[in-house]
Amino acid sequence: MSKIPNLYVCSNASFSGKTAICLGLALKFREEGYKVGYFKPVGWEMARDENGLAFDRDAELMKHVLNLEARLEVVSPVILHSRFLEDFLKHKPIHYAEKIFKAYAECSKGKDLMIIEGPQDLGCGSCLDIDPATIGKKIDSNILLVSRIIDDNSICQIVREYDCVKKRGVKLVGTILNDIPKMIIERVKNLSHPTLEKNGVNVLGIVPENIALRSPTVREIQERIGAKILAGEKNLDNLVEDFLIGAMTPESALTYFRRSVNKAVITGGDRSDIQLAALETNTSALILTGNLYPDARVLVRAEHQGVPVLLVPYDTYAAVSKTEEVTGRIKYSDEKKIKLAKKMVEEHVKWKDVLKFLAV
Amino acid sequence: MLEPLFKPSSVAVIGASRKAGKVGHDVLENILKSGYRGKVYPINPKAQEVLGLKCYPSLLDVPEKVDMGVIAVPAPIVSKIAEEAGEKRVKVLVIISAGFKERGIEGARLESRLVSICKKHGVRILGPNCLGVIDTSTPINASFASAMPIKGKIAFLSQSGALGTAVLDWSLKEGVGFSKFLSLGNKADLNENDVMLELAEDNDTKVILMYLEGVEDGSRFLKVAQEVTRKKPVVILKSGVTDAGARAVSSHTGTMAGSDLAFDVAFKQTGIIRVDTTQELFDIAEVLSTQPFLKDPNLAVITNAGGPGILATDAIEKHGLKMAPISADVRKVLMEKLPPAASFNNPIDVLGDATAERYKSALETVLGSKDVAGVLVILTPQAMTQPEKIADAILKVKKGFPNKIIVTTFLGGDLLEKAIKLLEKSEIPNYPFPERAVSSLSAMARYGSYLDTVAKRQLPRLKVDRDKVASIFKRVKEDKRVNLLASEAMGVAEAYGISTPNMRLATTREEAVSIAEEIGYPVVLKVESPQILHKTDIGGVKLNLNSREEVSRNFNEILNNANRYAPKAALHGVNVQKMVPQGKEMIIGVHRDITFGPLIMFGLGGIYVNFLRDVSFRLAPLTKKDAEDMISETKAYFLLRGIRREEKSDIESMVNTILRTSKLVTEFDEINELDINPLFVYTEGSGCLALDIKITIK
Repeated sequence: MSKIPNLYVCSNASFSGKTAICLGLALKFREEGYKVGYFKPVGWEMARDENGLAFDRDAELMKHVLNLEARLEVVSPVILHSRFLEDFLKHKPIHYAEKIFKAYAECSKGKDLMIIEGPQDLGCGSCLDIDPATIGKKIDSNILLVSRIIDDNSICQIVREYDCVKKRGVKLVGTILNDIPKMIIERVKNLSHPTLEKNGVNVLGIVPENIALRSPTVREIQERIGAKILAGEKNLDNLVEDFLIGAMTPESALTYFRRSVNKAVITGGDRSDIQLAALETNTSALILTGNLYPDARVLVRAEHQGVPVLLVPYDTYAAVSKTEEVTGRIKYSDEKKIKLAKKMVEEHVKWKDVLKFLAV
Repeated sequence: MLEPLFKPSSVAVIGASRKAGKVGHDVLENILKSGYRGKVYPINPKAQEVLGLKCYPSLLDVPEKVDMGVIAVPAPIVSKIAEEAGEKRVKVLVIISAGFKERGIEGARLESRLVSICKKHGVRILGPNCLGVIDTSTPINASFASAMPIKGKIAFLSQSGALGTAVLDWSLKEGVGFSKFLSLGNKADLNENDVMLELAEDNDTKVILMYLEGVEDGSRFLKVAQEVTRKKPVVILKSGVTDAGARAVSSHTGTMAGSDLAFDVAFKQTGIIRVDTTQELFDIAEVLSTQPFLKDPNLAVITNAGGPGILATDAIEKHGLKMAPISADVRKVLMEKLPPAASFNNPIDVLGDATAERYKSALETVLGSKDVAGVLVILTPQAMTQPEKIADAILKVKKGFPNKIIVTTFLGGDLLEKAIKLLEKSEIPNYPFPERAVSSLSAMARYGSYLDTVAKRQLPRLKVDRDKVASIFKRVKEDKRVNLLASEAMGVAEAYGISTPNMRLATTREEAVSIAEEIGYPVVLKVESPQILHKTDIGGVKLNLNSREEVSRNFNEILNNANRYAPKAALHGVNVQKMVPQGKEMIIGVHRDITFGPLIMFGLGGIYVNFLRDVSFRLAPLTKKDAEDMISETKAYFLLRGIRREEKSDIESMVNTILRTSKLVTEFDEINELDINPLFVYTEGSGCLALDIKITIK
């Protein structure tokens, strides 16, 4: 196996912000003059390309940002999905492991260091022997664990994961506590951090939450929920930080809507009063349900204010459920978000220590 | 200022047509039929002559100047006409054409282009999408309503053109006369504020009537209305009162309907007479435009039937008017002139066989009394009644008493028709039923008492720290928040001289304990989270803590409760506040109304507030009297004033707090919502404290 130092960035749960960390570190190291490569051995099906081939959007992002020559199927050779057992039990696990190592060899050619992105948690791929610890051991990886903090038990979970990885004989660089809400940062710094250190966990960064990075755009929501665009097509890049439901009297609605900014308001298409109340406040989008077309005058107003109006055929509950599933991803076209990811790593992660550890 | 709109010296009709039934034809015909004496120019590139007048291909071809242009061409070509009008130096355009903002996105674009063209040239616009304008003095009917109204002293301004044409038709049947009649259409330029100001100075207008669905520029409306009502009464029928109605208004106008409560308060505070029905609108207008102004509401009732007399009496008291006392000498005269079976008290029953002579005597005698300001004359058709003669008699008596009010209720139908027509022609308001007569007079009385209280509005001088508030808001905005933390809101309150108990935010247990030790026991702990609005409900408030151990334990408990009941809420920590003695719980709330600005609410607080709703409202900025009135209007005032074992509360400190709140929300228009709940009020001399404050900014 190649002796190029590699950082295997893993997480213990979905949506921990692992990709943004990979992106930030990659860009920072590149800035420092290193030829940085990227590899995602086990991806997750997020979309299909024009040939019908499944691909992982995070891998796609990194390929574009780092300008990788390798094809996307090489950057992310194994793509799992929610019903992968039938397809994948056709071959012996060794088949996939070989595929991965072959792709890795190609990706790492000519690079100074590799950033490898793990799947959504440390267990993913275990039944095929392609989980991060297994692969990491084979290619002599240095595991970096990215984790969010929900409550104090999250600390215990990090310690446990650390121990698990150590027991498998894989090296650990440390952990990054990511997407930490502003009001608990002091507590995390003063209490959680020392607790982790005491338990042998090396904390390499405490990254505060960034709403801009986390929030989906109206476009992402529109694609996800299959909505028709009735107005404000030019403003689909508005960020949506909150979802509110409009079902009350217009007067109460105004007071309620005033308390939230950059929000999407979900309401019936026939509720002009709620829609207009929403437009009186800071609103990123209107999501109208029941396939009921709103009054033309509301559309005029929305268009004028640059607020997209989306229409879906189903009811409010369904609309809410679908929107809750959407989280913000970084697209390679999203220059602002990419710059922001780099800035977060630069300011809050001990990237110099990481480089030192990798002995590059 | 708006003279060219009502008294243009020349009018051009753009879109004039030779085909009857087309707007361009009907408008021109109306102008000519109305007796307009100025120059009229039909404009139509496809015609040489219309209705006997030379027709020009465009405005620019008209040799002389054109004061007013009436436009009845399709919307897409109106902008071009507007350009020509600008070049021609036309002063005002009355745009009847529809297809603008009311139609949709394309229409809205046409309208904004139209507005900018006219603004560039200094041309005023009425409409678009309006009925037109009628002035009965000029005279001119530049509208597509076919009939010319009867000349009168009422100005009618409608947001709906269709309602206008209906009212016009009805007015001819009812004999109601107008000075001016117009609809505002889309209010692209001229709106109710402009027209109100103009009508205030118009000598032909005694009463201004309006039908509105919404108000443009609420703060200007408040200033204008206040000015105008000092000069003459303004009666407004505003629709969209109910939720369903409000939704209909939104559909009709494309703007949020605005709280009806705010409209109510705005009208009360500016002396506008508000009515709930179209019928009341004209009932009240009739009395205001024909009778002397009534300030002293002492009324006498003269009737030839007992029943209606009692109904009238009930109505008078119900509406807050007074039954005039019949003094001894008046009584004496009545006893001489009327039969012994008649009633000599108020209501005066002249009996079923009353003749014109009897009515005349009774009326003259009663009007001659200084205790009587006005008389309601009721007539029912009995066998021997001679309605026309009685009507005649009433008219003759009225001539002798120009400063007293006479209104009539000739209760009946066919039998009284001729008599009623006589009254109508002569400007004595007749109502089909006594209640309507009384209700109209009471509106007049309410207006009268408003005028009595209108003095120069002096705003109080208060010392405040604006910079501190500005810097707190700046920090909140930098943090990308709109909801202030409790500690921040308290800071804002203190900066404006509103007293609050000592409080600081703790993010850890140790901090909470040390703050408690510093502030001094007993303390209260309250969770700090902008998403948790009902802290008590989720166990986020702990009262009466007296030791380090209690503080420590309850701190954790609060955060656990918050995590459990509001897991997605952002937790900033726990506030530690000095616990103060229980006072009377009051509320002060502010909601920035989208039309009129800060609407202030004061009232009884506590857990029953949502059911009792004992609150009063005013629009800021408030004078000292406004604040005092707000307090005295609540039922709680009886408690606050001190009754039986309840000691008198510190009302002065409450007035002060209300005034300071008013100043705060007036000076910082980024404040959208503000709630002081509860405000603890103590006994006289001991002040009040704002225990919990929530502020939301833009």
